[in-house]
Amino acid sequence: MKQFLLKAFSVFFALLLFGMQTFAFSLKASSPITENEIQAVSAFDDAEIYDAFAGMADLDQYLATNTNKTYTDVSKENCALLNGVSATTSLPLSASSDQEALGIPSFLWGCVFGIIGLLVVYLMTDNNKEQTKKALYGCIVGTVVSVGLYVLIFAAAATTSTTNY
Amino acid sequence: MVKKIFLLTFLLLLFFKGNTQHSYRFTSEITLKAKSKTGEFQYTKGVVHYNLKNKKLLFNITFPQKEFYLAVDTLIYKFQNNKLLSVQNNPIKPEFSIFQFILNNDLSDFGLKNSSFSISNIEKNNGLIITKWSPPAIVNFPIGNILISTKDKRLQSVLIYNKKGILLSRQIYKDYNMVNGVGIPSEILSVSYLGNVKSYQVMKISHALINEQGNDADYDFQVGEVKK
Repeated sequence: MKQFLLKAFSVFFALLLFGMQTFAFSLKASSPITENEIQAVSAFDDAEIYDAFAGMADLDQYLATNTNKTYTDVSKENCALLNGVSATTSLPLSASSDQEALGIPSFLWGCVFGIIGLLVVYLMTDNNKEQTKKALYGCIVGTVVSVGLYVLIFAAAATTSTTNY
Repeated sequence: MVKKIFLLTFLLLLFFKGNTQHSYRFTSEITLKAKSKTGEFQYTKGVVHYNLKNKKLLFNITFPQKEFYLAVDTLIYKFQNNKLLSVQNNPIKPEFSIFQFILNNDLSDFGLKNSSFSISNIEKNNGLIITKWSPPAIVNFPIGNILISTKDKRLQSVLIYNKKGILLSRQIYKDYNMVNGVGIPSEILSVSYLGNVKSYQVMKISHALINEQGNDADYDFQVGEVKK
């Protein structure tokens, strides 16, 4: 029993030491959270976002009670509700607003996968450049990262294959 | 005596493990509203099904048009009018989606815990825990710091910066509902700031169910089948 306890304590302290070293490494690489960053995190008026969609309130309400209506149905019944609303599910990336990014609607990229997909692909593919480019493209469509990455977007588009049936 | 204690502990562990309810199925209605920098609106509505076991993600879209998308591994299948319309490469697997994070209770750190980002600072401010995640030291890594705020262990907001410290994107997670012990945000607001022009997205998650019984075909949809 004594021997068992000794072994258990040894393993425990070894793990503790390992954990502390990891923590020490993290501290070494610490960077302060600035006042501006705290302000950006904590003081954000989301009314700005809701206001942006105020014009869609009627469509929202209509579709809540008419759950199976499509764009075509609504355009026949009350086309005023579709004022400024696109007939496709994709976000415009370029001049052509009806163009789906790689054939995949933006909601899949931006709200469902987002930046995490990019990071995971980056890690999982051992920095495989082609894979990372594709992931960056996916990330950008939804969350739109930076102008400079458009170069990568076109590179990715050129290397992606689509099979149509 | 010692043997009895070990045996009792083992049995207790087995008991608790056996009683643990694993979350493996997620379904909800989803509405996405987006406003692009050109001022055009997109409105997408449908139902999502995700199965943690086979990693299949099915979107049954009802608006703007009836279509559905099945994401499996690195492919996305698009069906329209009961026909397979296209197959698309998808570099991001369904297991990296928000639904996986919800089922695994990993949403609070935005999944960064399992990435190459590392925590560089933590602060408490007005009841919020603000965590700064710094990118890996890789040359030309495109993303800078990511700030995450949580309240009561629930993700509240995510701010993504570029390498120059300019804010690129902000996401806000609101109005959590508890479903089978899992916290699910009912609204995700998103703003992106490309080229000093804002574009907005609002995603609503409603009628969420965890471990739904029935509708098995939607959780294990076979590509060869025709969706009706």
